[in-house]
Amino acid sequence: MIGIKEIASFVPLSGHDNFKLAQHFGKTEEFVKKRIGGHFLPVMDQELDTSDIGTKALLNLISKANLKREDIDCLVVCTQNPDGNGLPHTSAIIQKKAELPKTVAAFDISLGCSGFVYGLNIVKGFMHASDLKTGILITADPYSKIVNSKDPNTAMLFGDAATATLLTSNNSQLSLGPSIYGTDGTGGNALINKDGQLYMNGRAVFNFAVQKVCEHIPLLLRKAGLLMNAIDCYILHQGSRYLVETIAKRLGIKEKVICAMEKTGNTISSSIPLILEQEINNHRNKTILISGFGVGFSIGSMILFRNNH
Amino acid sequence: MKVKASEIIKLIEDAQTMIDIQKLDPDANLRDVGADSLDMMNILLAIQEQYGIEVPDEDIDKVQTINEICKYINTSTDE
Repeated sequence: MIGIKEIASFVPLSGHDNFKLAQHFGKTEEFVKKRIGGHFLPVMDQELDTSDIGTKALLNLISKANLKREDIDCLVVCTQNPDGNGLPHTSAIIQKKAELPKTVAAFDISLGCSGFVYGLNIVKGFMHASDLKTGILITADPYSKIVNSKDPNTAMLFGDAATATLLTSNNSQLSLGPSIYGTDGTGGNALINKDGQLYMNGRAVFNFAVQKVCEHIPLLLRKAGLLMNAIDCYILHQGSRYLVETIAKRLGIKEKVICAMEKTGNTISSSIPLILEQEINNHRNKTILISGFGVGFSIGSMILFRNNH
Repeated sequence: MKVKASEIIKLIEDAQTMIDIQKLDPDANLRDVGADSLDMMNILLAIQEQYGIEVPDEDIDKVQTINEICKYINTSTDE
C-alpha cells in the first residue's frame, strides 16, 4: 500500500529575530511567545528561489533515505510562489537542479496551507493510477517573496522552509487513511497576493480556521469510525500558536496537539511535514491526524496509520 | 429576550482568553483587563456563533466592554 516512508526538510539558517520585530512594531515578548509562536522566522537568501529550497529539501531526502535518483518515478511540488511566474513549472526546474532522470513525471499543484494533505493523496492517486513505485511530494512556499515587511499582520507570522516527503508502494512507515476536504471561495480575498504583496484579513482567516477545523475533525473521525481519543497525536497547520491552541481548546485535545513553530513561524504547506518529520520515528504515535487549512479558503484533513513491519 | 452581562462573561470565560474574569467589570474596556487583538477576534467569533450576529470590522469600536456588547446584541436582535 502506498504510504509515507521518509520526510526531510530544508530550513534557512538566516532570518528574522521575531522579538526584535515585535519591538519594532510595539508588541511585547509575551505576544511573540504566546500568540504568534514563531520566535525566529527563517528567510531564504535573496539569490535563491523556490526551486532552490525545494531542491535542498529533496537532496536532504535522497541522502537521508539512501534513495537512488533513478528510482524516483514522480515529483510533485506544492507552491503558490513558484519560480518566475510559474512558467516553466517549478517541479521541472527541480528535476533539472537535482539531476533526476528524464523519465520522472513532474508537475506542480497550487495550494497553500492545506497543500500537504491534498498533495499526499494526489501523489498516491497518481502513483496508483500509473503503477509507480516511488513518488516525492515537495512543499516550498517562501512567503518572504511577497511579505510586506512594514505590515505587522504578516511580517511577524511567516517563515521560509521546504520539505520533501517520500511515498513508496511498499515498506512505508505511515499509511494514508481516511481524508476529507473542503473549499470556500467566498474567503478568497482574505489572503491574497495583490500586485506582488501579501495581504491578509487575520480575523476572517481566524474565523474560518477555528470554525471549519472544529467541524472537520469530528466529521473525519466519524467517517473513520474512530473516537477522538483513538488519535495519538494531532498535527494541525501551524498558523499561529494562538490559532492552534484555540482549536485545541475547543476540541478538548490540548494534550495531544503538537505546537512547534518557535524556530520556523508559519511555513504554509511545510508546517505539517516539518512536524511529521520529527514524529515519523516516534512509534508511540500509531494514529496521527493531520489537518491543513488556510488560503482559498481551503481545508484538508487526513488520518495516518503506522504500519507494522 | 435581552442578553445579560453575566451571559457575556460566561461566554468570555468559555473562550479561555487572557482576561481575568474575576476582575471583570461590565464597564471596563476588555483591552484594559488583558484582552489583546486575538482575544477580541475570539470573543467576536463566540458572539457570532452564540447569537448569530456578525460584528463587522467597522463596529468593533462599539463592542469594547461587556455592557457595550450586550447593548450591541440587544439592538441587533431588536431590529
